[in-house]
Amino acid sequence: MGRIRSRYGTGIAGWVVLPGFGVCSLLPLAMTFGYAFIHTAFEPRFVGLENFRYLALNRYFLLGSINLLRIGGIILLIGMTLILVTGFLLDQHPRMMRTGIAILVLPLLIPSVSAVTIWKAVFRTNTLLENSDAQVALITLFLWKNAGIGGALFAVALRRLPSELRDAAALDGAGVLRTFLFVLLPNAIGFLFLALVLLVMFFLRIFKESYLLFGQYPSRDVYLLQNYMNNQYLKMNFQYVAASAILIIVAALVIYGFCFLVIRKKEAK
Amino acid sequence: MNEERIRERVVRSVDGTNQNLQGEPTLAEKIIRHDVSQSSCMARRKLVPLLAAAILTVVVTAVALLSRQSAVGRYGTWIYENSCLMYQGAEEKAPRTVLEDVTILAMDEDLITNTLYYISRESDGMHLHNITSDGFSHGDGRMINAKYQVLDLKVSSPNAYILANTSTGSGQLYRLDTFTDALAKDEPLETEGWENQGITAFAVDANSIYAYCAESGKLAVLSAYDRKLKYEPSTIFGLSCLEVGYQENGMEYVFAFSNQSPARLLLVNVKTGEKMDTGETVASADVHLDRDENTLYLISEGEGRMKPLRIRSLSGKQTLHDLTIVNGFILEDAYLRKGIELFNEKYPDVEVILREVEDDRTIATELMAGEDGIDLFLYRSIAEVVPGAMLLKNGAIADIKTIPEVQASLPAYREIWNPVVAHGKMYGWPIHRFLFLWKVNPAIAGKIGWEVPKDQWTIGDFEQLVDLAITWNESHEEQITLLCNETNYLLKQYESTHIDPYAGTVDLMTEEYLHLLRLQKKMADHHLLLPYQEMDQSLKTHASLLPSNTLFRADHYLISEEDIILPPVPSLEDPYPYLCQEYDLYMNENTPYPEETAWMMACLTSVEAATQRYYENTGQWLRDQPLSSGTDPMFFNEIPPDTELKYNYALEHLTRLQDAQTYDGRPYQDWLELLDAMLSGTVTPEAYAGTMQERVEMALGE
Repeated sequence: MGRIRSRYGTGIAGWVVLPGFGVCSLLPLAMTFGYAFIHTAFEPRFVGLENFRYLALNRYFLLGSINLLRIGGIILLIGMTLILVTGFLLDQHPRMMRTGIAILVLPLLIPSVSAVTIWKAVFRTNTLLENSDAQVALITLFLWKNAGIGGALFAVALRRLPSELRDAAALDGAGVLRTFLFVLLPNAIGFLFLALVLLVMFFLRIFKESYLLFGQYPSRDVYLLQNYMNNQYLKMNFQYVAASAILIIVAALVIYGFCFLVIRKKEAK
Repeated sequence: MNEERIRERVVRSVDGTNQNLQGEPTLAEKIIRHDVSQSSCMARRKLVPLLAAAILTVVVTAVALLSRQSAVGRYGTWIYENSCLMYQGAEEKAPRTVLEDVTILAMDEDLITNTLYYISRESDGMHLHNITSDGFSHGDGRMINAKYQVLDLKVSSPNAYILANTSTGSGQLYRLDTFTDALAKDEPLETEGWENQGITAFAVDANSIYAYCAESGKLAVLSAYDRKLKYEPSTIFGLSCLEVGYQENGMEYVFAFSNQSPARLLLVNVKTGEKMDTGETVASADVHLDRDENTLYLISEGEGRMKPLRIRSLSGKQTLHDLTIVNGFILEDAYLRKGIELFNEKYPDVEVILREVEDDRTIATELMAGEDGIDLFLYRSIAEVVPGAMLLKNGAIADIKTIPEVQASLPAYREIWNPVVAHGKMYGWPIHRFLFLWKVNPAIAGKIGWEVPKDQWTIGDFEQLVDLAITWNESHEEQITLLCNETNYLLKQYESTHIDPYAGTVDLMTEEYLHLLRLQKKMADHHLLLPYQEMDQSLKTHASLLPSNTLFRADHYLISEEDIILPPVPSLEDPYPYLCQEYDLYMNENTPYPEETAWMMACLTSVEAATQRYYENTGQWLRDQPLSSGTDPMFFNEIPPDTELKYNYALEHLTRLQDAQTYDGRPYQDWLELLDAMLSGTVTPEAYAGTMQERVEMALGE
């Protein structure tokens, strides 16, 4: 009886959530798809793949996309390294755990606009000048603000692992580093993946920091797809914004699909 | 504690020993009396702070209520509360503070200039000040004679009217000049057939002053121009609180409350005294009336509430739909009214609504979303998020040349269209032109032996002047500066004529541009430039002022400015070499009411409406017919004939300012650093031109 009631409750909850999900997520997504195939928001005639062709041939769209991948790659690489290192260090010094986590999470609470003032003072952020430190400024600001939460998450995950694992590794004569790499890390890999997802999510919202540092048009080396999309929005070219968004969605689906396949293959083994 | 319960408890506890001997109070009674008196003492002690808090709350609330005032403006509401003056725009979520620590006795917004006038009490007496919602004041205000005990203030610029008690009587109306501190000019409103005594309510607009005396029941209407009675005062008893209504078929109407309980909102024909019940009632006695262009508000200061009522509905008219002009506040009042009047002749059942939207991004978003509420809109090139030409290209705004009436009215105007024309399409109607002109210092010119050009002159002539100035500075101890304020004028001039947002082209990698950059560097090397950043604070905000050793100041100038010359041009054959920033009226290409919107545009572009505009601000736009002979209350100066000629000439040869620096939304400081680097020699002119070319290309080529 209880199980039936529980199922009934879950069903009701699902039906309640569904309209909200439809209105808030599916409908905007559908509208975005619609916009991607029309001439302009003001002249909504179907133009097929014309907007995608425009993007494929537009050098600034390509520049923004390449920079997004390049800077994203650098940020993810350094970011994940920092997460591993901070997680490891905090795990080795449990007494520092609370203070360490507080320090790591604090930047996330500081408004970017306050931090930008400091970054502007430290780095040469004028992208009109040749000796600009634009890339370094953007990457360091992002990592300072967002990598800490990943490190904190990973450290907590390591601490939550059963102590028997460490004891067994110690009995087997494994050192600190070996224990970390071959015992703790594989067991906390799920959390590391979560930290990676968080980092990617934060990175896709990097536009705010970029805008605060460099304005609407940064130099070529830090011009991101987000800049392109924002500028097209302000120019009222919503069809290009929508088409760009569709391309990002497709790219995300391809990546997720690939990961899914890899995981399934691994599970099958 | 309850006395009965105490008694019961004590008697029970001392039972058996409680004997009443020789009239002495029993032990129980002694205990009871002591306890009860203590208990009531404690209760009283507790009550004291509660009572004090209650009294304090009542007093504070009363003070707060008394000190709260609201005044409805054309695009928002002014609120004075707790010594703070705040403003909340119609589309703003919360009020923002405009002034702090101010004691305001009375206030009213002038709906013509969208400026709040308020009488404040200060250490040296009462003052009449003015302030805009941005916190900007025209002038320093003026003193108010201490003889007035001010009861109310109404403004219709350039006049303020106060209802005051004085030693000569109570409830008298006075007219005050809003700008000048001339006590002698205060004028008690006196006219034959009407007594300026015992006035209990009044209202004003640009044409009339409505005054009501509750005791005599007389409702009088005076002309705002000569303060004479327009009609014989009508007698209507039992009114309170007046507000301007509307005019129709030669009749004038005001809104008023009846003295019943609950009070009823009435429409009163001031000529016949006829009263009409609007069907609205108000229960609270503290409700008063105020209005903006289209809406009457019933304001309860005590409850801090405003009830809006559409005036059109109150007058019994049917409204088919609205037609919205966004940011129409920039239009002169008389011009706008004439435009609306002409429009309503053809579309009497469409109500023209004015709406203020501060951020142009909101306009862009709403246009894209296809929302209602933007039929015509004022676009400010100074604050635009995307150039008008791009809006045209994207199909957001219409080519207004396709409207036959607009096309027909063009020949009546000078050729002032270039800044709103892109590739043969006219995407806006010019409303204001902020001309960049040069003010010259004739004393310096005479000193160095340079003859001030009377007409056009070229950059080649200017280069000769640069050499003359350098020679002068080398041979004299007294050094002169050539150009101050907008010292990059020549660069901006070149950039503006070589960036085409419609075609998406920019051409800065040219020998001509490099030559200008080198000239700029040469002037900087010889200290002939005084940029805005280095000017004294006192000079920065006053375009009329020149540093004593400086020959030119490049700035925005009105037609009333003296010693103005046309800036140098690349070639005398250039059709549009002079720079301007602008306010233009654009038409939403996708408006749900294309016919009505086109007709409204036609009305505003008509010669009939244009003649209502002020000449001082805009120059003479019409070829044959003069603009309004009225004077813009903000500007009083005489127009020097010499400036007038140059100004009107420049009007016909304008190009829109769209320099590379402002074009791409870059932080201004970044561009200044690059320019400084070029001027100091660390960046070559070629590199500077290359960088700017690349950035503007990026902005255009996305």
